[in-house]
Amino acid sequence: MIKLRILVAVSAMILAGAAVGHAKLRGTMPAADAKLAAAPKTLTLTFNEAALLAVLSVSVGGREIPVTVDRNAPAAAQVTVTLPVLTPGKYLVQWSALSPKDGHVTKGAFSFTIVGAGGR
Amino acid sequence: MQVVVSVWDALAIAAKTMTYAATLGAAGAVWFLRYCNARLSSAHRRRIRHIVLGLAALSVCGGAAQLLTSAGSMSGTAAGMLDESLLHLAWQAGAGRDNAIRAVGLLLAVVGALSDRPAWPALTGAALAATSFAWTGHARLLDAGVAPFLLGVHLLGAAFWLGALAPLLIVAGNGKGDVRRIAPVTARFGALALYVVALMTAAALYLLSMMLGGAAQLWSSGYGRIVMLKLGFVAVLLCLAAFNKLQLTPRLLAGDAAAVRRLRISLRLELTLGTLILGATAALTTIAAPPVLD
Repeated sequence: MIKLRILVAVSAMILAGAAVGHAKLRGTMPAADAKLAAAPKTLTLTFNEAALLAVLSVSVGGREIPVTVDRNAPAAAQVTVTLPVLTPGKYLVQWSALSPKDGHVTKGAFSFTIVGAGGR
Repeated sequence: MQVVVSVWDALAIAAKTMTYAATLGAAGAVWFLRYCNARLSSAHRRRIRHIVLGLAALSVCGGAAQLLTSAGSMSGTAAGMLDESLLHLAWQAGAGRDNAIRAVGLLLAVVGALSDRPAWPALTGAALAATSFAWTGHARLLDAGVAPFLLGVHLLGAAFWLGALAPLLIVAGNGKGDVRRIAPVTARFGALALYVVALMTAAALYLLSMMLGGAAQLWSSGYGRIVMLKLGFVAVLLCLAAFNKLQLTPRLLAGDAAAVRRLRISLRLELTLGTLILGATAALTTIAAPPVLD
């Protein structure tokens, strides 16, 4: 049991600094931590390589905003989804994508804030 | 970059390790039935066939588990594992083709292994299953020719080596087996292994040089550190294999019955190390990217 714990501890130390590779998010529109005067109509994710967007969740104050992701869309380096009318608040975006080249899952989260009067 | 290995990553690594071990184990056991055929008793052949069948089933389960964890990882919830569209997405992104190739290969191998002496369709099926991991992944991203070929050679060697361990353990029996029957089997495996291990090591080192892009990456990148862990396990495994070939096999050939017990201990250690090596490989293909691709 002690040997197993040592093995797990050593492995954890080695793995702790491992950099996750595969498809990487290059940028977003709106940008992470952006403060916007007007609500965006779309949300764009840009990857370093073609990726399949699997999940996109947008929430504000713990309330989920309905967005539609086309999982049948071909892999692309840039994926844009249409947003519903957003009101002022801090929005959390969580996403996950799949690299069609190696089947690896990449995921992440960022937020942006709408400080304007709301609506479009 | 600070990275937390998530539960989904851990599950994916476990599923991959199981798939690698079961597939390579089944493939290697089929080849073992062929090249050691005349040296095996019918009881040994029957038990090895059972192992092939069990490992093939385990490989299919491992492939399914990988798909489920991939879908679960994308959604971040357990319910996502059963989300049809996410499973379809994972299937389309290479996993489907890999699993299909592996299943066809294993089917050929299992059916062929039912005969007394597996013929070429079974041997080819085993090779197809073992090399199914080279169809997608980092090697494929590197280039479409040399890297997947080298990975294929490496996988065939790994299947030959790791897949022979369980059959050898069966032949060694409970440590009190007939040394006259065990010795020719270990000698036959050892004679072939010399060339196979040399070839697989050369392929692996060349592939590694392509993936790393420089020796310094071994300690400066996360990928390199996992490679170092794997190389450490491989080094111990090579020492054990050398001990078996240079010390135990001559003693077995000389009729030393006490060497059988040592052989069993050594084979069990090799099996443990083989599993750790495959675990490290699964980590390499799940949570790290080769520096040249990063």
